[in-house]
Amino acid sequence: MADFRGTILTQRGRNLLAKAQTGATLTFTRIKIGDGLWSTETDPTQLNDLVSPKLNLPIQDIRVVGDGTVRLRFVITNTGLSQGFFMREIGIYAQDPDLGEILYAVAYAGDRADFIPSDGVTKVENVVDIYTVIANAQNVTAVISDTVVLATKRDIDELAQSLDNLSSQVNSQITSQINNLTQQLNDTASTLSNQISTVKPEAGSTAPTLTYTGKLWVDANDFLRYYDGSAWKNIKVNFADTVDGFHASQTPTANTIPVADSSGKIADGWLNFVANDPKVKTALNASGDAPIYACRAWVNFNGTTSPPTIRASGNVSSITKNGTGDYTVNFAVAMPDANYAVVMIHTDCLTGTWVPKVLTSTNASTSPITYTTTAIRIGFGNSSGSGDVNVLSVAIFR
Amino acid sequence: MQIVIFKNKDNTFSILVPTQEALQIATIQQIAEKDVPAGCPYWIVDSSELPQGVPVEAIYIDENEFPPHGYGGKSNEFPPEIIEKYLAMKGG
Repeated sequence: MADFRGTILTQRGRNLLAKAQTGATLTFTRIKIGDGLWSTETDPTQLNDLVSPKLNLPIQDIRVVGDGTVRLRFVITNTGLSQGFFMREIGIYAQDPDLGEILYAVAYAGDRADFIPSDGVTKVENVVDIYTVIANAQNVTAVISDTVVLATKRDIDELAQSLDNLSSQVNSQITSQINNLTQQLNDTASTLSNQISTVKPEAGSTAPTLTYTGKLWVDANDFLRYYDGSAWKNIKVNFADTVDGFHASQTPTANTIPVADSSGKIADGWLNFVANDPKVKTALNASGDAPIYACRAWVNFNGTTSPPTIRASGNVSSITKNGTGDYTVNFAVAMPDANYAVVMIHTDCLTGTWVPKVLTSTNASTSPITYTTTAIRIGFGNSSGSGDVNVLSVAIFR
Repeated sequence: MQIVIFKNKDNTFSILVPTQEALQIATIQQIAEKDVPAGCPYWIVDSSELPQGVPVEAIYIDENEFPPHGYGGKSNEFPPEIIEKYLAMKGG
């Protein structure tokens, strides 16, 4: 290794140092190495550049030592060097606020220099620390290059120690956090387990011994029950639109159960009414294919009493006795027309044998002859007169 | 039991007996207005007041002495509200 005998401040370096003592920032910019031979006449304090500079080298690191000096670290490499040279001189450069970049300090090895070979078989990568004076300058910086970084063992050791410390710290924090989370999860799991164990229904033929309000129990019949605080009650389910769990509706819909409307009636669409439906005919004991027709009004009364005595009726509002053997049957609700069929039978004439008939022509000018949608007038008599009957049955078919 | 006696246009009298089913949906006056011929005067009387054994042809009421309780209406049908009540009673 070359033997440099310390650094010497140039005159410009001294001036800049003086500025730095009064607050100016002392910024080191780069390192130069060269192979210049100094003569006995060479005054290093008056140099403004190396005598023969060969390489410009960036500063890798700067550290204020604390004894009025600063350590500058740079790397000597022959990468890209086309011609080898003896490294005899080192120049430290800094930024003067008034002059720009100046040669701050120099070091000279003279004939104790090292040879830096050209780039080829031999690779040179040397980390060099050089110290120079900064006195009491407070603001000392350097232009640090990150193009080439070579670490010393001490750097690596320090970095390793820092990593170990950081790793230990991180591990400690992570372990602490994991322990806390584990404890929280265990607490939560324990709480949930307690809640689930108390909420879940118990099944069995006998009621659970552990009881509290809201406790659920599936009994021997698989009925879900709950404890209301004093006794076990059956759970009732309110399905707003269902009947025993099946969907219900007032509107005829497939796979639904009909429900009555506000008037208590079920919509006609639910039922399929068919004229002379076989089931209806069977219910009425009407066998065979002949259709059935309904009796629209009927009455059974005694015409011999005064007034007539009505035994029973259907769709008849009143019986009028117009005279002996002369009656009018008034319908409660009118027939669709007057083309209905009248069926009459009677028993027990008081006198003689009377023939029943519908009165349509006697005394038409003065007495109403009725064969209308709302009433029918009937009479009993023969050529010798008329008479009342005891049991008179009248039926209207349409 | 109340019945109705009305005077026909030929000055004869008739006896009108309401059925029980009609009395469930209408008053005897409403029945009389429907079933008594239009414009004919009628009286509502208790059946016990009728003399037994006397034919209807023998009945006579002096309108001047006994003003009628009403006259037969123009329609021989009940008002819609009574028919609706009747049909509802019959399950319609």
